Amino acid sequence: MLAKLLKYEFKATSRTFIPLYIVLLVFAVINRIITPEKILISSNSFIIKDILAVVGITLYIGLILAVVVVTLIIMIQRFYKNLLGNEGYLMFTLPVQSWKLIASKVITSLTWSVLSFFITITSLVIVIGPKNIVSGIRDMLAFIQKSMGGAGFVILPIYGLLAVVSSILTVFTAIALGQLFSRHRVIASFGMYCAIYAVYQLLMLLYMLLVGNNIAPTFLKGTPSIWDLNLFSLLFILFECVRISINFVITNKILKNKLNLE
Amino acid sequence: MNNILECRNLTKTFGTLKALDNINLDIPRGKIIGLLGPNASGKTTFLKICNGLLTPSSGEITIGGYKPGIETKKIVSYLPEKTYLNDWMKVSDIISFFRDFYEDFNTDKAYDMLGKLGIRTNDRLKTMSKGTKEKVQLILVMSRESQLYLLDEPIGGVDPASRDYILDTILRNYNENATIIISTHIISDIEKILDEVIFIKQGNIVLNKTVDEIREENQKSVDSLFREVFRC
Repeated sequence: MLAKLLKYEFKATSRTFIPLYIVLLVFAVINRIITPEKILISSNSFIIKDILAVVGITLYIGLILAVVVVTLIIMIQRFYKNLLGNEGYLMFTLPVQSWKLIASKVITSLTWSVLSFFITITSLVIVIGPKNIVSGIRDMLAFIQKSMGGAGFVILPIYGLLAVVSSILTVFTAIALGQLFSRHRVIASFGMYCAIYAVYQLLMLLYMLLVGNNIAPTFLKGTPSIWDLNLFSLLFILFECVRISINFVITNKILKNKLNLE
Repeated sequence: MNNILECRNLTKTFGTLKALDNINLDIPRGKIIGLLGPNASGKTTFLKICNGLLTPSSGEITIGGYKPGIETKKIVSYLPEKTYLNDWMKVSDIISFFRDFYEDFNTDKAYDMLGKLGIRTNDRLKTMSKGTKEKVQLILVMSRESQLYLLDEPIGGVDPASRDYILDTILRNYNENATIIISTHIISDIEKILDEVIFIKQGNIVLNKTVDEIREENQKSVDSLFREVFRC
């Protein structure tokens, strides 16, 4: 059933993302061809070309912003509207466990977040040209190799993915908690998000101090050893896992036992 | 087990308002039942609780022996009073959606009914009128071969000409062991197909009888009894 949910979830969301990605990439190519930055530097009197160049860059930056905003909005909308709005009357009368509904939303949101990230990078490669980007990436990889060793290439991506999942779930948990209120549910959800966020930041800080002082002592001194940095990252992976589990359990409990659709 | 639905001391409160007040009901299999009451009497609340869309404040409800959950969702076909269709879908998309998720969904039946009502399966739901969407939704719900159908105001927004077809559709599309609960306040149109009626008023059940009993004991039609009971 999860596979079927995912099928429809991707169908519903790809309608927005795929055209947006295509537009972004096409604009990147256009910017590459008219090379606006060169036009700006070399032009003396070609006002129309200048305008074209500025418009090209502005639109491109606007599109990158649009990708970020749309990724966020679709994530919220698919959870709020599809599960807790009128469409929830259909979704919650399907013979499907509530955790699968949540999982389907998390998996699609994660996929689109990762894709949005890589498409944006790809468009940058197109606009700026591969040379600068490749050397930038090479520097970054060398830095990871130096500070964390080979393990960094496994640990960091996993941490990154888990951090995205836990951010997505924090939003879902806040929306679900907002449903416990009989009125002003949107405001309640927003307030819940702020509260959860503050609590996790505080816990994270305490955790960092705990780990830094007792388990990976070189970390807080500013000259962490490779071993300590890896250990530190692993412990933060653990932290994110706990956070994901807590968020998931809370959200599922509410949707399963406390559902009150308006 | 003869009853498809049972509830004991079922209560639902919204703040200080009691939408359902200590309801006890036994609903047998194989009946068409009218859940009748004025606006805001608790009809929709009751049906939403049956479907697990609302959580009862206290009391218990079982359908086919189970509390609302996966097992009941497999055997209950629900028509809400809201349009729950995804606007971006075509009619054919929503049909494959139902086929994917409900084992008891009969695709041929759905296409057949859509054809009879002249609804094109390639049209997007977004472009349809409210009445057409309601018809699509009813067709989807009645194309399942379920044990319990819960229909919330199935004819409310539909023109009188289609009403007859829809009532006819409901009658033709359920098997003898299934029960249909129809909530409505438009009684005259629906009276002729009902076996039993439940009158609900401010969250309380005020009457639960067969239509024959009403005709014999009260010498009245359901419609006129309704007007008498709920006189303002």
